[in-house]
Amino acid sequence: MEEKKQDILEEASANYEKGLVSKVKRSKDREAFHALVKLHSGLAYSAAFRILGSREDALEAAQDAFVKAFNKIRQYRGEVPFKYWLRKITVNTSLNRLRSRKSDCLSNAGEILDDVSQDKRKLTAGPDEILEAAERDRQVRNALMRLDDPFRVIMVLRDIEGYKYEEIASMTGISIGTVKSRLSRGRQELRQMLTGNAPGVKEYEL
Amino acid sequence: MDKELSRGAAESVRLHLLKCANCSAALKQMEGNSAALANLADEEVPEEFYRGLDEKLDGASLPVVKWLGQFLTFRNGAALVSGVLIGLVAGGVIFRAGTPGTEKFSVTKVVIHAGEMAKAGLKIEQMRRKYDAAAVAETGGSAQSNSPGIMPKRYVVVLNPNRMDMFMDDLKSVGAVRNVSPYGMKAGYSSGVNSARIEFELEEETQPAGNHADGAVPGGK
Repeated sequence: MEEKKQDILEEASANYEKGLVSKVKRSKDREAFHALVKLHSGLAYSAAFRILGSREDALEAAQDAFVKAFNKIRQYRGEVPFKYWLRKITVNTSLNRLRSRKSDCLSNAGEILDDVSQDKRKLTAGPDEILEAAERDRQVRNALMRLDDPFRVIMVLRDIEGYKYEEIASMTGISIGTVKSRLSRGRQELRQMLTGNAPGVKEYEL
Repeated sequence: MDKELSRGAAESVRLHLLKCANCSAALKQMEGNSAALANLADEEVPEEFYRGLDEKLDGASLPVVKWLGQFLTFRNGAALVSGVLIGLVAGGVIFRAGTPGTEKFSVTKVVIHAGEMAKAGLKIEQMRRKYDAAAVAETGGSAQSNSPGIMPKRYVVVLNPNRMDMFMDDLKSVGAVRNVSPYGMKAGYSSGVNSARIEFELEEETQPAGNHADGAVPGGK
């Protein structure tokens, strides 16, 4: 019963969104677009913030992404949900902004994990703390934001946004092999930060 | 973790994990981290995001204004001014095609950005073709030759009431229309009427004093 209710809600929500998109497509209706912005601003701002690592840059990038979406909405064919289309625009806009900040930020990455500074690794105060799910999420998020750009970006695109290796390689302009190695190293670094670089590995409830 | 290994490689990793507690725990931990990342809540969007976005959306219409600006030579400008004056005098003649007995709607002002009258004229000409077949027949050549520089200020459009919403959407897309009151226009709407007559006026937005020396469109909402 609950599942059916959920399906109905999701369908209604999808129809509502389709209606808004079609209004914007037909007549560039600003009110309808504002409603779309309200629906998806969290998604766009979060993706931009996690890629760029700065709130000011994220604000600009997410705004630019919405402006692009508004101007190019007639190119949206409805083959994927609007939010995926918007997310792609946001990710590309953020990556371009990251490149403009530092042109080689995606191509050059430190190759040795031992370079990770000690303060980055020591993020956890104690094992008890990470047993709390909310606290653990906060720590994971904070640890992610402490990763260097090349690793963080790949982890965001793969583990949060769910893009495939090929898509990430295409978006960032680096090879699939590099995507895989950075993902692996990023995950290791994240794990080290969250465990305080303990030699053994702690287990905890998810 | 990403299900990217071949069957053989995946099997050897699985066998190793059965024997190696450290690797097994490390994998579990990394999977937990990835799951936590995938389920992270959205960041809180700062309020200034919406204000800044509105300003950028308003600014996004600037390229069109600049593009139109290249056609606004002194001669064209003079023609435009004359056209507006002629339009004021002739007010409503070109598009007046009301069928006797049709519902009459209240006149609504449509405020457009200063400097966008020519663009509005082009769009309204397209709308007239779309909704107002009667007007084409009645006004004949004069409407067909209606250039963006010569346009009336007051319009009467005849349409099927069922197309009212579509018309309103199109009207909102005219130039940089800022103020359309759909409820005012719908006041006379009643079902069962075969055709409806809508009257509206274009009113050019006045620029605030000392503003936009570069010809930019006034910003903000």
